[in-house]
Amino acid sequence: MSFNNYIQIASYWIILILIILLCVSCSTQKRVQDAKPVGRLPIIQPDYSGIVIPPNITPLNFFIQETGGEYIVRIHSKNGDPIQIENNSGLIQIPMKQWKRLISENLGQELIVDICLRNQTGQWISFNPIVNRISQEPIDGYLSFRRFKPLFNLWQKMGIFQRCLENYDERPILLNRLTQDNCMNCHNFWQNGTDKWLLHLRGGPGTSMLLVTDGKVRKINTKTKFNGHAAYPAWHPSGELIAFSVSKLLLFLHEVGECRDVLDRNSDIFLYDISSNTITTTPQISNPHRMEIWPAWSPDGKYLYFCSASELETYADSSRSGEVALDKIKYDLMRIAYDPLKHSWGNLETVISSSKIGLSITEPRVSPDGRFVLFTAANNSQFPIYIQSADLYVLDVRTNRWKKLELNSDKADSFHSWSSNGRWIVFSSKREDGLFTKPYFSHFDSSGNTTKPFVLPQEDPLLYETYLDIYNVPEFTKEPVHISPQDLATAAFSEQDALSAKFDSISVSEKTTNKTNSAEQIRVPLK
Amino acid sequence: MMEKMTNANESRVSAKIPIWIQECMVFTACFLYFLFRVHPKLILEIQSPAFLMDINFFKEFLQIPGGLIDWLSAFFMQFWTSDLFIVIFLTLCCWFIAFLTRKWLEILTENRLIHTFHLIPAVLLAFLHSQYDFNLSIILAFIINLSFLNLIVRWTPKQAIIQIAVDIVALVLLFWITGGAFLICGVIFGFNELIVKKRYINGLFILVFSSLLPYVASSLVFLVTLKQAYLHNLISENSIKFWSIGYIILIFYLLVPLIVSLAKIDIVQKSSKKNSQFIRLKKLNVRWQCALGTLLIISGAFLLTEKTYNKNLCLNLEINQLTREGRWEDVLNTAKQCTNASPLLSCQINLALFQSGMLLDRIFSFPQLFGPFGLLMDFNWRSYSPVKTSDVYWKLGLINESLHWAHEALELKGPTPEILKRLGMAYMIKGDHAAAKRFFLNLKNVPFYKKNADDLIRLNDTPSKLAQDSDAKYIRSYMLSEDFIHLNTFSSVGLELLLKRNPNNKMAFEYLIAYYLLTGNLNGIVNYFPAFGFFKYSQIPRYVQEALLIIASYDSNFDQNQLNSLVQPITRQHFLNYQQILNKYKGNISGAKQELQTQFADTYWYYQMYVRPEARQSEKQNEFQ
Repeated sequence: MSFNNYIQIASYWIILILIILLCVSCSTQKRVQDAKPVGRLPIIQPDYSGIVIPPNITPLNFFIQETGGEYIVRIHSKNGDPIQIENNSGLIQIPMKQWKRLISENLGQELIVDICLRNQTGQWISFNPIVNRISQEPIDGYLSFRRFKPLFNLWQKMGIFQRCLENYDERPILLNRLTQDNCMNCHNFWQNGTDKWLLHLRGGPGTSMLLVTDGKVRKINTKTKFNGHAAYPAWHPSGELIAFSVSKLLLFLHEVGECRDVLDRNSDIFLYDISSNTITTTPQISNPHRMEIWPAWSPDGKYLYFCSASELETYADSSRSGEVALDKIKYDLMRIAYDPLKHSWGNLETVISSSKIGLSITEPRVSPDGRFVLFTAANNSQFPIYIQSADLYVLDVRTNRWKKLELNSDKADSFHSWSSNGRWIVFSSKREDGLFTKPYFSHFDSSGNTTKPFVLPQEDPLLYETYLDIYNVPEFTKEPVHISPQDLATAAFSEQDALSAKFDSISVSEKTTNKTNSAEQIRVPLK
Repeated sequence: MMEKMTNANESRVSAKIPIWIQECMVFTACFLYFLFRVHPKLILEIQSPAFLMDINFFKEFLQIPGGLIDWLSAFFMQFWTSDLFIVIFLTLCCWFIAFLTRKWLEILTENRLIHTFHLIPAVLLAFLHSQYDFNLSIILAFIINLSFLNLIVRWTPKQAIIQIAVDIVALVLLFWITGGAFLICGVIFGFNELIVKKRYINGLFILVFSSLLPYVASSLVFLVTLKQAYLHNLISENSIKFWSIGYIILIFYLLVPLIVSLAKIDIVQKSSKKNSQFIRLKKLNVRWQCALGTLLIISGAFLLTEKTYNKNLCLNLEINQLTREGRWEDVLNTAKQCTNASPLLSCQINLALFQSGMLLDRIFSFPQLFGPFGLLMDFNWRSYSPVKTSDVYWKLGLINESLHWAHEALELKGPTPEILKRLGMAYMIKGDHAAAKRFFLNLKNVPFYKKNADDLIRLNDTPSKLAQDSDAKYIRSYMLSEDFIHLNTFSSVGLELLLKRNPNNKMAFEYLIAYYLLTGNLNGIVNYFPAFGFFKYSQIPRYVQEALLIIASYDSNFDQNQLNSLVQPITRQHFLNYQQILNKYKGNISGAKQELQTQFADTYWYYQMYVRPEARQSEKQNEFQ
């Protein structure tokens, strides 16, 4: 057989294949056109319908939770080629390149998803199209979070991870199997970047704050004779100061409803000055008769927002033999002026009192433009993730009005973070089942309105059905963390480069220093 | 020449027959040891690895060197449903190790007949199972390493560069599959090359590469500590009781190439010839050598196992197993043979007593050294056995607490089927159907649990059907509706609330009375006295009678007629005898102890005076009452 004969045979095969493909696509077209409309939206898992999508998000794979033998999905928008997926399983995994191209060609446009299926009787049916909108405002490229199983008192495996939101890549920042299985938390990034960031390790010889600046990691012991180890942190916009709270948290248990609850017996706020390695405070944020927690800076660095409640003794209920009425503990939203040049404090203000809102306010976070304060409010407590009534609220600083956001569910919605452009928020929600926390994203417009939230997309859309880990403390970052987990772990146990923070005792009063010891005598109704 | 070869083969085969018989005898002994002494199903009471047929579950194992072997080990253990199967499996593993060792020794010794010597590691490995803390993954890693060792020592390419390349690939693969256990192959092979084959460069290269590979891997590739990189699946990573035996096995493999190379030295050969003439060992034929070797191996193993046998450990694990299976009479019969004590053991005994309807009649016939923590353990013991803790709370009706400990178990033990089932059922009973479904869907991925999981999912998805389910109705009728909050401590409050919720909760009642007895809170017993009528006891339980006698002895106003109607005459007489002995010693409690112990060790009075944890404390302080 000559070479020409081979070419001829090959070309016949190619033509045949093309004809078959054409027939299939025509057949598909006909099936879609002839499909009987059912007049409702399809049920898909996760629910990616009616949402606003960031232009740089990874494909939103989903599973069609409708019984059928064959499925056809067509994703299209105003411009560009549509994406068509056909299979028998209903598992829709959208090709990355096609998705990116379609999205990039349609910024600000609607993204429509048409779904048809062949039902058990062999008939093709179609659903109402899913209409989403593509935002023009990108979301930060990475999300960091802590991941572990729902925990009570004991833990074994946990880690802090970073997930790229533009693809499915997830890598560990640090795993606790490198640090003698201790606890790690409070990862926090200066202005959504990874040039300066920190995390806390608790338990064992690695207990410290790991502070990353200028590409180096340092181990800082934040415990002094006046304060315990640092807890919830907040970077000052200058990048030179960190506010953090120091608490005496106690996990206790309920026998009805949600098992877990947390009592804050005593907390104060301190400032850590990175350059001088000094911890300072002021009585207004470490008042012996108040519990101060959850610091957050305004973007101009001139205000420190935080939450404050009366000391625990205030809630002693004489009708209950002096036991603390836990359901009455509510936190106010406060702020105090700060002069970063003079390092001096101004007046303390109550921004929203708990009595006015009727709820306990926690986790305030100021938007990057300084206009809004996003916070969590629940019936009581300062640990809202265990309170099903916890919801997200927003305060407009200009008008001093607050409102409950539309994106809330009937389960705990709490810990949140702003994207660097202030147009996206991520928050922790237990809306699916009341137990497993997942990160949800929502668009936040300049008027303070949010859109329907959607869950962190996964390559396998069915992952969440059986996943036994929770996502905790989601934080946006613009780029990935550059320090390796091995370097972080080495620093955690390095005594050579470890620093012990010094306490500026001039700023401290006797009452403040004695406060950390008095909490042990508090009577709580814990049997 | 062909005839010569055939004759040589035939004589070699016939020479091997005694070796095969020897192996047969040793591994039969091994089989019997596992079956009758070890009862290997008890291993699952200490190690019950979670396993899911799920790609995400599998991917987690790939993240650490040796993870594949861990996965495989967990997979095999899912089939460990009967003692016989496990015995056969473990015996085969040990035999395979012996077989691979023999093959390796034959290569080392240039095809000499090997007997006895090659059985030592296998027998020692079999012995290591006696404490139940020896991981299957270590055995599997051993087998894979020995297999690789046999493969690469047999193949010697002419070009050194190819040899080195093959060595590198093999060692990297072994490290990834078996973890730190790859050092067995790496170091032995390196020694082999260096000392026996005298290929110094190759040998040194392999030794250096093997020693550095875990360091490099943990620094650049895997997120594991240095310790885990070097020791995972090697014998000493997690402490086991007879860790020294583990090291002896490793030293055996290291010494063998050394001995073989020494044996090739002229001086040594000459002196061994002289010695063997003296010992006349060489004059014995293979058959007798094998027989002697078999005798030595079996008797040595027998002595070792006899000296190290921990009967209490076996019994405790058996009790764990029997409790899980609900064989309460067997729990009590086995418990009588135990000479140790622990809160877990007491907890299980007390549960068995309750389930057998004998708690308040026989509780003090077993040592109650831990007071109320023998009913529901303290935090540390609960953390040690979270599944058992969850079980007890479930039976009582404290569903949230059962859920709490099931979650602790999930964190500590992983998603085993019993934990998944408990979590799913607890959430389902509480009405958290979405949360329940997640656990049931995971249960579906556990081998052999698909049908069970499907049934539970169907039940979970139809709340109306669930409401009609008899088990669900039963639990819902008992579980608390009134909240109380607590801090991981055990007190009577939960039990009191359970009774308030449902006065029919007999377990809560009996546990409450037992709690009062164990803490010496006799007023509490008096407060709940009418409940004995409610539960229709044919007579007041023995220890409640004994407690009433104590109350009456302190309270002169106590109605004697009522006392007579409640307390058996024999019990009253018994109490009088007790008091007489005390009076004889004029109130000297310490002095009276020995005499009282012989007759009254199983009475409540003796418990109150000498066994109760507070009483033992004051005894130590030498109080005189």
